[in-house]
Amino acid sequence: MTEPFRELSHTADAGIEAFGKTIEEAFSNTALGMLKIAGVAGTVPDKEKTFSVSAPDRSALLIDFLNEILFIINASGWNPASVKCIISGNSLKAVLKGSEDQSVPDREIKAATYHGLEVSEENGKWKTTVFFDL
Amino acid sequence: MTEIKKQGKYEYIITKRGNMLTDAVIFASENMLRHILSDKAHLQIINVAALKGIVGPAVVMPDIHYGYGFPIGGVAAFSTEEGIISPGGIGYDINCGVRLMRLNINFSDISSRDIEQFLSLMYNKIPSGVGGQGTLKLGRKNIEGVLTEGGCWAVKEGYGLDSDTENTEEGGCLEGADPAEVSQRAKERGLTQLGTLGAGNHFLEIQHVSEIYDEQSSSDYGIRRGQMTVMIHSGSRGLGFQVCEDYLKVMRSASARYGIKLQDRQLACAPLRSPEGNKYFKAMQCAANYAWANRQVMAHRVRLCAKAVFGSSTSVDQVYDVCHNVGKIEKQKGRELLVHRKGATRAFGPGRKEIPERYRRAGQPVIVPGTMGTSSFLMKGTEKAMDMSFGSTAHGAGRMWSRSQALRNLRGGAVKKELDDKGIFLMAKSFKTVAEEAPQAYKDISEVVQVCHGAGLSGKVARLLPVAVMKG
Repeated sequence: MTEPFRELSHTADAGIEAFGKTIEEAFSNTALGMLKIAGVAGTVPDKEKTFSVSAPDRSALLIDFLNEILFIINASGWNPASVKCIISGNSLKAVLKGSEDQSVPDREIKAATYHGLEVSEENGKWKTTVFFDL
Repeated sequence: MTEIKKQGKYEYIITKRGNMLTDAVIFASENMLRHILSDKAHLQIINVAALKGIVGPAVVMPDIHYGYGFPIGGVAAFSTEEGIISPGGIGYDINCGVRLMRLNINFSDISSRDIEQFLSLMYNKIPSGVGGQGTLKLGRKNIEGVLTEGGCWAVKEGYGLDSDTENTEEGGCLEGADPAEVSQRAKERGLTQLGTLGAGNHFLEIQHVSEIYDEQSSSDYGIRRGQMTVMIHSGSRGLGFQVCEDYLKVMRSASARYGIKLQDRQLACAPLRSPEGNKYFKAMQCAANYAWANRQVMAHRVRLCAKAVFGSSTSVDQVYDVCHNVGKIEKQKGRELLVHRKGATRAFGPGRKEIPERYRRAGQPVIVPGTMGTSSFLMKGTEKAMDMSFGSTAHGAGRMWSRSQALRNLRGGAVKKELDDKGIFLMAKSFKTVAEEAPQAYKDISEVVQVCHGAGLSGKVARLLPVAVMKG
């Protein structure tokens, strides 16, 4: 079985390479990788939060999706334990399960960047690459 | 293979080729250049040299390291008529910068207990860490004042002295700021974070002046050997991140609309004179003003803490405050240019009217922070920097190890013990951050400063040794 994501090294920052059988799975795994970098402790998934984003293309969609999650973590103190998404064209609907709690992430991720950004599919396997500004 | 030619002891050039519209110049020692090439940071400055309207060479400072889009430590000037403006060329932490304050106290006259008490009090009064909500809650009306007036807003509200803003780059306020161009979400993020340090490489440090290299300039800056200083490194917090993110979204469509070809999507940009470029410029200035207000509120609290610990006669005077992630229109070489500095510090030479009168003989004070276990430097701007680097110099040590490499090699507890052994008292919210920010993860600050001094980008004035450090 392929690992859902792996961390990529970067001199100042950090990156994630994520995989999935579908684009949705690859996107969700990228988000889980990002939460790992941030050190967000997956809290009891007793509440649900949804949001939608649209972008001009798939890779921009991934950035908007990840940055929306970062906003939820950094600005509202809400810690997701699970992330799912549904993609239709260049629009995405995300469902996060988690809760508000007092735990603070280990790292402040400023944003998911466009640098080295990739969303690709080969033989039915999806792969993403994203670097974050820490 | 990129051809790089040596053209001075500390100066290398990549001559214009391929898509480049101009040359790229790297200021580094031979040793540093090897690391820069292995890090591939030089490839990022080549991409910058291909951006529309660039004037003169794209320049990188000796503390350069691989970034995203622009390298960290990059300076690029653009024509205000034909050139672009790039949010990625300024960064997410708009007006991340450094402030240096001097106390009328000698290091030799106080005990280590006093220092611990001083740091502990600041640790309690100045919120730090990820998210980091402040005790100062801004109303929706006040946020407009912060974004328009920056550090001056804070002083007007009682957080500091007029001399603080006088001794701040741009007087602590960029005048073209327009809050109407800042999103509601960015403003919301700014409501609760004013006066907070943040996390990552941000810090607050108590130091003492261990060495003076330039007696006259240090005297002009009010700095003498043995004196205590406090240094603050922080930026525009979530508000700045949001402004950058909002406008990268705008620019990713605008770039194509204006027919701008990008080597890296993080370089997304628009002409400064376009509606998109103009709006970003005004919003970015708001975020820069927020950062100055943020450091101003913290500086005020440092002052209150110093008086509480050392007595009411204690004076805490601002030496200077510099920003190192910003885009500004500056008069350079007889024309107006939009200078992007991403991880680089303005270093204007003697006589410039942008510098407070009391510093015009010496040149602008330049603050180059090191790591928590080594030292920081006070430098001065030079005439030569005006010629070679659009009046810019290094902004710090520059990372050498990735964060994961630092975590693999070091433990936060061990780093704290090493600092303890050196007599440096550390307080931090996260031990993980302490490991990532360990001195070993950075380039040698003395070498960075030596290259800047040797190349003439800035002159050494004084060395500052840390005695107590607060991290997020």
